Amino acid sequence: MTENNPDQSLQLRMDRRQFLILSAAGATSLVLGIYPEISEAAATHANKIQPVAWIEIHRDNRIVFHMSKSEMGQGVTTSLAMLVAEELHVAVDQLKVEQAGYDPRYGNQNTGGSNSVQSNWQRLREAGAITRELLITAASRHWQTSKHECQASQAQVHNLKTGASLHYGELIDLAHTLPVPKHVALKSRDFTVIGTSPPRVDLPSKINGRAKYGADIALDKILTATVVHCPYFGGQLTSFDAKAALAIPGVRHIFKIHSGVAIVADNYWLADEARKKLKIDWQRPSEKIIPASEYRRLLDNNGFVAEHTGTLVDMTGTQKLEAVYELPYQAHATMEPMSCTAYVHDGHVQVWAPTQKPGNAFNVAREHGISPISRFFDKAWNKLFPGHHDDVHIHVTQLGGGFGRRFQSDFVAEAVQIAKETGRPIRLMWSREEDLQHDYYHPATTHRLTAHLHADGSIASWQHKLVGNSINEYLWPSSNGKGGDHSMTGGATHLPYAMTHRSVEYVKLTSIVPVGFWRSVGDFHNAFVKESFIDELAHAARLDPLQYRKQLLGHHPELLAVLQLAADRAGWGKTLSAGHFHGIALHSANGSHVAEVAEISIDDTQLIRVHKVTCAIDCGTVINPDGVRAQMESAIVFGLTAALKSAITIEDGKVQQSNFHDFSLLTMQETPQVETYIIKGTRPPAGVGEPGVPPIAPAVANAVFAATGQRLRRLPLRLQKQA
Amino acid sequence: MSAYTLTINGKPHKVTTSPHTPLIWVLRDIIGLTGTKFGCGKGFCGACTVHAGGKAIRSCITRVEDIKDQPIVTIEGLSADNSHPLQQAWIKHQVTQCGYCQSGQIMAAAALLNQHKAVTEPLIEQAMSSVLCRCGTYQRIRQAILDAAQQRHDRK
Repeated sequence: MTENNPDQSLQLRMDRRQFLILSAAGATSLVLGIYPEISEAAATHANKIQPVAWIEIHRDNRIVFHMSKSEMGQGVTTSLAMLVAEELHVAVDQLKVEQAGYDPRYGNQNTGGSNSVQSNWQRLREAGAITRELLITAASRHWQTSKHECQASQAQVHNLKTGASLHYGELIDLAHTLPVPKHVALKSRDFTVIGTSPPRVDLPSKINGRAKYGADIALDKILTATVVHCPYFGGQLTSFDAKAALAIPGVRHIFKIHSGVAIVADNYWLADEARKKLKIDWQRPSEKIIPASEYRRLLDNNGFVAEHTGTLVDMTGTQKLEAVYELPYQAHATMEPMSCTAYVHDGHVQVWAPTQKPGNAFNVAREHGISPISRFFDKAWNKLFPGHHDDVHIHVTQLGGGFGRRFQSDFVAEAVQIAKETGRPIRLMWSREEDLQHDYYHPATTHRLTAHLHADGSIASWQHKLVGNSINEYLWPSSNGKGGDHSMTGGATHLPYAMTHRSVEYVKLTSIVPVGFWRSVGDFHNAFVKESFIDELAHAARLDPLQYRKQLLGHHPELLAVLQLAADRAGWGKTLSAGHFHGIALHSANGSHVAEVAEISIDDTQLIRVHKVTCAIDCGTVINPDGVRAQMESAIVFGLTAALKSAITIEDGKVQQSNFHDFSLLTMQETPQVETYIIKGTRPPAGVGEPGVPPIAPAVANAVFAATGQRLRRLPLRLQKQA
Repeated sequence: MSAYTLTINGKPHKVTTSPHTPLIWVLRDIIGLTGTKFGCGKGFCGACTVHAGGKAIRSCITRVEDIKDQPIVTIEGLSADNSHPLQQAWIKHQVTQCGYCQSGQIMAAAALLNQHKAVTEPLIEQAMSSVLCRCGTYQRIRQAILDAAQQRHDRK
């Protein structure tokens, strides 16, 4: 490969202590990155102090923040830096933010559940405050004055009496001799960073091609790999004939791995050409997949009762409504297909992974990269000498979209296995076809809603029964065999609407179809059916859908406020352009409350066009308003793709869709104007990555009903073509 | 295998490869310019958009032999310091999220601005609608392109 790689500045050297990469970022500038093995010695380096795992203060005044969650576009690089900056008394742009790799010192690095800001709200502010207090104490010693005479701002400590100032970097020698403070007070108001919208820290490198994703790491003698998986879920490789494929010059290796057949070549195109010439026999599984079309029938089976609350009253004189809703499987379709870079060499495993779960990537890389006997001795060694680290390093790259897909480590296992087999650095890149056909899908579900209404529209009873493949059962088999699955019923239970009696029942299926977490998980399907059916009840009660919801939300001022804000800003009830109609929906998820009003029209071909979405959110304390707006815009587009366009269908044991022509995403032309209004709360921050997704599909479906009188109970939403 | 001398971002690059190799893999795997992204391999998503002779092309379905003597510009060659009007507009409107499709979005937008003296919203939508973004940054992309076009207009 060297002959094909003219840039001789690309090199890789590796020894037991240090891993050094020179990577060419464009032809003119070189970026030097040093990845030292993390050790106690590193924490007490002469030119820096590291009072907490996340923060380093350098003699040259650099302030490094090791950001230990994964950046997948949700803006966590910026929002977490803001938490540190607030208490460290620096501006965000005074921090050098570095993406941390896997390191147990950071605690849980899993990035999902809209949880990064929530789980770091306390500890990263504390990390900033501890460091600041340490530096203030150091300054007070230096000036031999009281700490009260010292104030920190803009990365300096100021002497209020004399007017003297010291940069943080000038204080590290003194600070190094002092104990790290254990108790610090945090600001509860008068924030200077929290609540502002500084420029995204990760943006500059994403507009010039310098940001590094899973297959962008420059390593000497690197080869490109791709994997062919069994098209049938649960199937196996029987045999393959690689003669013709290996005859292509530049195709280096073709071999079996745990998940299929790996092809290794000088570049991706050669690997893809080799794939076309491979003859593979796959064995189908004996287990059959229950088609989603059968789910309607399964609604009559008994299910797990996820919620049974209130009292059953006499239903005489009530109006009964019943409806069945159906949603298909969905793929994550991250713009970056599954990819990963790995090098396994003399018992060292180096992985560059776009992962939402670095700890799991570490375990998987260790399992596939280190031999069982070495793992055994490592364990024994670790007992004798605690603190000894396995020689497995997970570098977290930028994620070209996550949405829950990169919570799985299947691609890490493959990259490490292929790198180990070849002995060369490899960059694994899946084809789009493999990516769409070997996802961990959002499960297809069918729901039956039954309600009894009193004459005034109040709800005497509400029954929600759903059928679908259990996510938790697939990911952790037999973990909860007879129990429920909150991933499937989340958002269906604990409804805020007044109901005399409510039951939620889940007919749990287990299947060989891989299912997993997809942005907003169970809240996606449950919000669609719940908010659509509430709309059905409103119309049955001859009440305005907004008024009806307000009537049912008596005891929930926060929800009422969000609902009213979205309605007011959208101009609910006011005259719209000719042919335009409104639909509204409300849902709470990840601790946030979101209301969305969709303004739609129906074109001559019966196509639903969404012109505008007005969104209101209460996510508690707002860290970064523009970040919240960006996530609402993102969630609405993500949800509209599923509401209007995309579906994964399974036939003959395999996925029918293969690329963006038949799994189509919302385009710019189809994207509505999105306006977001944020209620500034005082409770701790709640999640924002996911909760914008659930309300959009029902808001659009409700608007379609307002426009046409047709109740669409199946996604993607399609109107009957009129003859 | 054939030898080609490609002009990429103003510099000549000699590569020896099969004439059928799509340009994206010459850029990414052979030359090491990884700013151009692989999204679908079929020309559906536009993540791999670069300029050939000033026009936007999908490098995943363009064979290296078809480049001939057209100069290639990739995202790395748009500016040395994020100073291109579109990059500035991208900063102003805080467009990016995961960023993976953004090289393609910016290159498609740059070709649009190169080819049209005045751009309108319908023209932008027409030119940009086949460049996919799963994070849904379209609204900001639209604003950023309009803004960059306006800035150019104001300077004249």
